[in-house]
Amino acid sequence: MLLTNVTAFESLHDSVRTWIAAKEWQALRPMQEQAINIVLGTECDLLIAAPTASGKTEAAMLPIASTLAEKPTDGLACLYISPLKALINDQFPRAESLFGACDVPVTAWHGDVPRSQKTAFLKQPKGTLLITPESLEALLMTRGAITAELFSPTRFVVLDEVHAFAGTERGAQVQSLLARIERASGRRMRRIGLSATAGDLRTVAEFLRPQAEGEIVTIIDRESRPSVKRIRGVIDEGCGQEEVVEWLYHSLRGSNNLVFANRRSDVETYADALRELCDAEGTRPEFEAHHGSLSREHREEVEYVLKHSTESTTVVASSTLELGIDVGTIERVVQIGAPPSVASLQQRLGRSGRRCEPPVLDAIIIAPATPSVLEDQLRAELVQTVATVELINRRWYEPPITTALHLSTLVQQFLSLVVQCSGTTQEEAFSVLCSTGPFAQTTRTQFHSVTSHLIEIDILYRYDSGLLVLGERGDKLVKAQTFYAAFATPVEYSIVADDRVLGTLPLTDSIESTDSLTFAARRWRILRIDHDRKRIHVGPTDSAEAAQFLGSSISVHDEVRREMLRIYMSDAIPEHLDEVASRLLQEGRESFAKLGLESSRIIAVKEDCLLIPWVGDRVMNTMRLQLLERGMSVKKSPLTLRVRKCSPDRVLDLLPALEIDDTPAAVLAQHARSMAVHKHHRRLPVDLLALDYASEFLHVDGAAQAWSALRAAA
Amino acid sequence: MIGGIARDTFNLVTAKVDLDVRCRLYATGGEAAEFYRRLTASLAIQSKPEGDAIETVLNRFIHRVEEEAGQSGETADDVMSRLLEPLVQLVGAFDLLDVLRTYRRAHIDGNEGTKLAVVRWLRGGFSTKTDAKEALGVRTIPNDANMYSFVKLLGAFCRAAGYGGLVIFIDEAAALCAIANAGARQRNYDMVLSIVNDLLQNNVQGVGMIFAGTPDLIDAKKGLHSNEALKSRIGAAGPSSSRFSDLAAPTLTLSPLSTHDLKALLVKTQRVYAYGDDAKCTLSGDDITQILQTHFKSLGSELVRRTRDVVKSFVHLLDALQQQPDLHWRDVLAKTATV
Repeated sequence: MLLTNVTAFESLHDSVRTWIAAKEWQALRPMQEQAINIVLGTECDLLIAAPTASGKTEAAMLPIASTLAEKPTDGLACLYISPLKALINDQFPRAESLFGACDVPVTAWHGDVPRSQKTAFLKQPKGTLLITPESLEALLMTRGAITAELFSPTRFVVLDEVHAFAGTERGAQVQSLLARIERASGRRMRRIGLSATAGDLRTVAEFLRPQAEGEIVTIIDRESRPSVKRIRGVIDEGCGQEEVVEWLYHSLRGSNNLVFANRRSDVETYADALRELCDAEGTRPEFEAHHGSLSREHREEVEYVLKHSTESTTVVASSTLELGIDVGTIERVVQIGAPPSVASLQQRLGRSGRRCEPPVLDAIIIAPATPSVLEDQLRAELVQTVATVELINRRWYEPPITTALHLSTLVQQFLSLVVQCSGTTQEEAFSVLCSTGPFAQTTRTQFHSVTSHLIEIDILYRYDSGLLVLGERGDKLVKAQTFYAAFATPVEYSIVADDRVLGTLPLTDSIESTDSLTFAARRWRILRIDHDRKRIHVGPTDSAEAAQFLGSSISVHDEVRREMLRIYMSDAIPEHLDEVASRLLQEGRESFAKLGLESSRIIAVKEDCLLIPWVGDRVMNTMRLQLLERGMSVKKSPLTLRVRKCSPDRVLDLLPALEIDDTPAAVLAQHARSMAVHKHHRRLPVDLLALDYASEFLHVDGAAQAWSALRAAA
Repeated sequence: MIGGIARDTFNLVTAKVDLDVRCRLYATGGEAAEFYRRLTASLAIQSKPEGDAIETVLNRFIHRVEEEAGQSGETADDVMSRLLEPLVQLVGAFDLLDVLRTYRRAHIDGNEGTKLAVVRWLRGGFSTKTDAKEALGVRTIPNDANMYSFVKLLGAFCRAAGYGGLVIFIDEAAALCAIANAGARQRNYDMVLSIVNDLLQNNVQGVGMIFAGTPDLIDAKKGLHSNEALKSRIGAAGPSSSRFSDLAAPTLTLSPLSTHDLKALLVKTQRVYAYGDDAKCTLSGDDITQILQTHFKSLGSELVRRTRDVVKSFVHLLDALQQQPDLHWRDVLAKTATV
């Protein structure tokens, strides 16, 4: 056994070294050595950014196990927070092997872990706890009285897949949970974040410990394996989906693969079609579906088969298999349709080729043979995919949105704190959650307004002494199992046209932010969303103006749209495009030229005016609301803003004013169809709801720049 | 002070329990057993006002048994049965009798280990029935489910030992109102109701309870008054300002200390701090008045300011002045305000 850096290895405790020796590794990776030196040698928080399957989990666990072997801790010593149950199931044997070698017990704790196991742990808490944020929330709420005692011995907290948390509601929840624990125990836990090499690592480090006083050390392992990426086009002449199924069947049989589809319904459709094909051809059914609505047993079985079976398996999945669960050797990853985001495609790509082989990605885009809407003429879905792959090659990823106030999660954390502490005061809650906690952007006045509103709607109750407890409705709210999650579990809404129910769809942000949707193979205009009866009322629409090919709730970033523009303006055909995809790209460029889009971003279509700003959805939404504020009728499609009954000249006249439009975002937000996007949004006073919506979904500065770019192009 | 009067004037055993999230009247997670443990740990008598008097009560009981057996010629066991007669209908009475017999035997044999086990049992120190059975041969231990029965046993036992009874002072009772789970809160209120019923109807011998808490305790919507049956029994508290408040009513409202009272308190606090040496009291009466005023600067602060906080910050001030005698109290306050 040859170890390059003797000191890092030698600084580890004997039992850890023995454990490593048994593994017969050639050497520790440089990133692991650095992590060992920092954890053992300093008191700093640490962010480890490395590609999937590069051993970053071990980088964190080795020095922690060593510390705990050196100084055994009575009680819960290390908290390991992971975003997915599946990830915990996957990490558990690895953690148990290493920590077990140091006599440190490991306990897995999430919604599917039997109660008896949890009770046994609480009787004698010890060692390392692997837990999801939701289960940690439940633990604080149901065992509030012992929070201080339980966590006072805790020295480490590891946050796995921290990049997936940063900037999200769930991320705010995790920050708040950690702040609440440190507050109760009166002790700082060393935070160690494990991140993909995605995006803006400084923001991720800031997320790890907001308002950090001490230094956060970041270790980056950029060593990336070359990957093979291909983009395939399929021209849909009525049976595009069947063609894709045929291709999947013939290309994937005989090896382990992952197929990602953007929608749950697509996951089902493709998995069904593939199994039917196996049946028809008399071959072994080796295709499985995996998404969040399927039962735990089914999902775990699929993961197990993928990892352990000697027979080949291909799993069609939604984002559930996106994060770093070790699913064994995956030959290739297939993405159907435009990827939701650059970061997400990178995660999906990282699923394949874990053992020595390079990752292989096939992205498949189905394009209509006779394009009608502008996006289809421009072959925008393909170009967006090309742009996404380009950006991955350039190591660019979407940065987390740091402006968001996360007031929905503030409401959740407020109520949870009230339960944990058996009542709290407004001042105390503000101090825990806002002054020193993660909701630092919330002012005292705003917090007071949230409190008064919650009292008014009977979610909280205030005693004369100022003590806040749950009100009638608050009692009911926190009793629901779903309360522990900061994110809303998508609720199925009925699609209703002319009082006829067409079917159901989970309501996502994307439905709320567009005007139209495709359902039952037809395009519909959204008339009204009825949240009480869970109905979306739709009416038929002129298909020429409606399009929705991006079935994802993640909005497209500015940089992706800018990259698309660069691709249209260029002549080069990237080599990873197959013949059909190259042809589609050519067609897209021809349409682009024919529409005169090289020089113009404002074009007349019949009586309407079409704006094509080449910016992300946040900015486009802001621009749309600014036009609505001026009393205009505006429709947004993925690439355009269509201003009804308006000439380009009139828009041009408006541009100087729009460029310096200083209507506050919160005022604009009130024009949004539904500002209530996040789980507890409906429990906020309307002014704060508008502010919260604006902080996350609108971008006034971006809009000003976009308007001036439009003017410059005109 | 109430405790002192109870012990000295009425020869009562007293106990004081602060309620909080770990300590309740009704629970399933050990919080009611904790109430019993705190109660027994705090048992106080005239000669032991600081608490931890359970062993003394036990010994007094044994002493009485021996004495009466000697006088009447009964066996000690018979005396015990007779003295504990009023208990028999209570849950756990037979186990208590068994344990007391065990204690007496151990007392005679000088078996300290067994005596300790009895004290431990009485204080709720056994966490499992198996342990208790092994050590003392009894089947029950004080737990969440039988806590109130054990409290009643304890009251009757105090009487049997020759005391007037047991008075329990339950402080911070508004903690019950802060119980997050509505069901658990109601069950605690129901427990208060059974206690109040027993006390008012004289169902229980030798036990008195005083609940104390902030006015939240009788809040109409969420406090004890939200339980109609309770509200009608304990009634509305009389107006606190009235000089004719009914001192025999079930609920008494105490008004907060007036600024005048607070000042007197602070003056005395300073004297205690100076070990009674008036020469060391550097702050004048005027100084103290002004210091007090700093606490009541903000509007409505007299409603929320707690005496405890005022005294605490005053003691901090005295500490600072003792360490840096040349500083003026204004400087010290100004400094702490900016920290």
